[in-house]
Amino acid sequence: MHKHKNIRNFCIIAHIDHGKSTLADRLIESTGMLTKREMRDQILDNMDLERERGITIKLQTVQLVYKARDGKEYILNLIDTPGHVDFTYEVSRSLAACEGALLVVDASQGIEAQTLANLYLALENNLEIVPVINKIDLPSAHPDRVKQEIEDILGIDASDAPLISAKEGTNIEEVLEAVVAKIPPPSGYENAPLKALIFDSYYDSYRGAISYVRVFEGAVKPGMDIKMVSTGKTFEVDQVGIFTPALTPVDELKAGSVGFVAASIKNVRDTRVGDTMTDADNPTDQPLPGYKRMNSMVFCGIYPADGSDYEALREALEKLQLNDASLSFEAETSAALGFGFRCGFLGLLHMEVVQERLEREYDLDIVTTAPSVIYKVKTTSGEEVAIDNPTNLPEANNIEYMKEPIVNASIMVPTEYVGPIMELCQERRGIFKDMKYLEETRVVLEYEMPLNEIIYDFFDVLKSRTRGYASFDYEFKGYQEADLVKLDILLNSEPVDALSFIVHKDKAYARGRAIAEKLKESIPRHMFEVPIQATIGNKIIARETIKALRKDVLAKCYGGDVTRKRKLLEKQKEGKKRMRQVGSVEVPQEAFMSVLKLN
Amino acid sequence: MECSLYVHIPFCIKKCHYCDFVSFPGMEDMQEDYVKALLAEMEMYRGRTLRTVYIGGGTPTCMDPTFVSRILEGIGLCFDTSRCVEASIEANPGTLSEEMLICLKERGIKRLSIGLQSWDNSELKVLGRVHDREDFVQSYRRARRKGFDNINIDLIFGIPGQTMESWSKTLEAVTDLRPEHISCYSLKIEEGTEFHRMLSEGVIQKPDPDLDRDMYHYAVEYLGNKGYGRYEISNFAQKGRECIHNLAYWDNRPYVGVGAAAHSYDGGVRRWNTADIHRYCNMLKKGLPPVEGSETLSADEEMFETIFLKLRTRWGVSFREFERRFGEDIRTLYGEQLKGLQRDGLIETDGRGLWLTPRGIDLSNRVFVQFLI
Repeated sequence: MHKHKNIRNFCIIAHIDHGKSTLADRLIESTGMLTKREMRDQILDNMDLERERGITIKLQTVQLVYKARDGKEYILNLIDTPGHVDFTYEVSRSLAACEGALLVVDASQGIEAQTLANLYLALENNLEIVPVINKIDLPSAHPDRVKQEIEDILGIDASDAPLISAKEGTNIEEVLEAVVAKIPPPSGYENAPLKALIFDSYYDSYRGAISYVRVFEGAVKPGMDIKMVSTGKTFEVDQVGIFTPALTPVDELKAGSVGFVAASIKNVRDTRVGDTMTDADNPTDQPLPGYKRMNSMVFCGIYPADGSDYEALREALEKLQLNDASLSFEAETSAALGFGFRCGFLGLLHMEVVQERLEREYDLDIVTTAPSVIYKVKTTSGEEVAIDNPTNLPEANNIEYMKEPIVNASIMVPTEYVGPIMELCQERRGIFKDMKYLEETRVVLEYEMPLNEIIYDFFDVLKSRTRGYASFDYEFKGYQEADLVKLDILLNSEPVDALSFIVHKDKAYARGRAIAEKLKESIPRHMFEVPIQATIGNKIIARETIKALRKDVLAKCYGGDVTRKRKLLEKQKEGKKRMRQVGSVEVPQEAFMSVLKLN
Repeated sequence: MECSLYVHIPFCIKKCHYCDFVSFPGMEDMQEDYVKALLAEMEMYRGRTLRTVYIGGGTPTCMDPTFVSRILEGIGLCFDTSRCVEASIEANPGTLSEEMLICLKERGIKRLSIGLQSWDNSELKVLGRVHDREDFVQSYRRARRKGFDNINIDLIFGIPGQTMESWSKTLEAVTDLRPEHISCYSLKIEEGTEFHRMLSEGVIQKPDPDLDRDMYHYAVEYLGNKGYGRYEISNFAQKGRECIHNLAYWDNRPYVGVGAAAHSYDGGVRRWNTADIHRYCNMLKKGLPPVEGSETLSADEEMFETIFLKLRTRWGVSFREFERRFGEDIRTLYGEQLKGLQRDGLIETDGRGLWLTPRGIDLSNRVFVQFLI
């Protein structure tokens, strides 16, 4: 094996807020590169407005040049990893592109669930772990205790872990030295057939999908034909280059290096994260292991608040999808909400990110329906159907049985909150698996939980019951049979399809009641009484009544009031237009959203 | 053409908890400048013929009587008041001194509108009023003695903590005094008021709309029995004692408004003055109109305003008058809407016009929006 002694490929793993991006900034600065702000400015200079708005710029995959204390110059490739649990797979692919990882631990907080999850991924990928203890400037910092924790819990030697403050720039050089000294250089033959791992991609409206790659063997250069192993599709390379952090063309990318490949690829779906890129004319016979096609786990309907924004919503989703191959969507129609889309996400956070981007970046007012998972339904006729929209569930008497997805959940929490968390998990049909002490005052709770119990407000409740101290992670385990029913909501005796959902039989009553109460609060009074009913099949399990409106009158209207009152009335009429008509009942957008947060 | 004059006095002793009018306590130093500015602004309308005059606020009578006198004198000098049929001023209990009443009487004020709000002293405290009911009775009697024979009393219902019982007590006590006119306003908590803050802090509860309507219906019936007919949503009067000035608003007729934040309407354009007293005075010092904004009403807007203003009154919209003003038959314009409103029991109509039913009054905003095209 040929070693590339002057290269180090590494990433940073850390819990959210433990200082990953600040450390990255410091490393970049201290090697004489640009500051983050300058990077952003510089990159934006080359970008058109559309990209500026639509795309999260990948700032932190960057090549650093560092002159070490041994007098030699090293190329350090710092590879960014996505920050949250839904992207475990993406994280694992980023890790696979590296030989080592900096494990950043907050000197006052210690190890958290996410740190652990990512660390296990790093260990699975045989990375050399270099612990770094950050935030030593905080008065509450206990670096020695955290060192001990790292050794006890993770079994990693932390005796000479750099003690740093990324915020204040303390001991940053120690980190760079540790990278050079501890992380092994990459190896691989430059003259073997091309074998490169795609660990990220983004869509550029001029050059198509750009692949971020780690070359393991061979080399890639402009003019050569490349092939994506999973799809067999071939493309001609236009350009290759490195991240300085602006995309800077180079002649070729050789084994051991990290960079980008532009090949006029029309769709990010053709450059899938985890896939192996090889030479079309001389393909490798050993593609990189670990490629997985990601499937959506959580679904919800997304509708424009204003029906005339339907096309704008479609365009926005298409644009998001260009850059996010894990987002899926297809058109659907709801009697209550009109035309919209059923969207699939990797997980809850992914869903929230997409919703937020639609609203913030595309300035769309959207209504989302209750999130759903995919249920597997065995019908009496022997068919098995996958249901991601409760509306499509077959009639109860045509169902033999139903299965729901189960996840392994791990919750890291201070011992004082173990009681409330166990209670919460039990409420959510969790099955206790294990409890491990991380240290005297902290444990990891392992539960098997139905995914449909955590897609509502599990995070929020978890946070509130632990005053924000719990951290949480989950991974898909498999499908399990369950006693599930479809709960429908009727307004003035008319079913509202967008409010239907599938729920465990034992929880249907409580959920039905909670929803009916919530709707009572969020639907304004009408000129007539409006009954709200929650039903399973023909059986009413909860009922509330919105009393008839008795007062809608302006007491005062004199000369100085007329303009304002006219405008108020005009606004009232506009507000009415924005309501959704369900039979004779006008339902505000917020009512659909309010049932998503029941606690 | 005859028009109405509104004069705004943005001063008061203390801001009440429900008050969102343009009114500021503790600005006594400004009063002299303000009166000068008012007179200067009136000059801009010199020569108009006034049908009614209304001096509102704030509390106009919290000013020094000499200032009030100068304003009233100014009106007489600036405008043709020979055909003026009504001149009202708003007053609060405690501000109607002998001296003030003499000044008002001498300067031609014919009608007093006194803000009592509640007969219950603890409710007055909740409202943040500076007077109690004894102050009121004293002021009222003094005014009667000075010969004021056209007095309105303002009341509020839906006050936090108010019960049906205390409301009926207020109505009883007030009608016993036999004022010519009574206004009953449903409390609305407006943004920026002390009540709004108290509501957000949970100190008071949101008024209960059901209790509010019960109180209102009670008032309509009680006052009706006592000889006070409801002639507008919140206004009740003995026969022939309706406020002519306010009727002009609900008739959507032109008016001139002077003073900070005052609005003027000439039939096609509505203008409003700056609400900033300093700015108001400064602009007039420079000889500039103190106008902050204006809107030119489209034909549709004028029509809509006419409908919703007229529908507030007992007489409603007359088909013939409407057609004379807009050249169209309201029944043709809004055929569908009228049918629906009638079906829902919100309006009534005969061959000559249409008006709100009692239910239509309670839900009048729902009725009005039907006339927005």
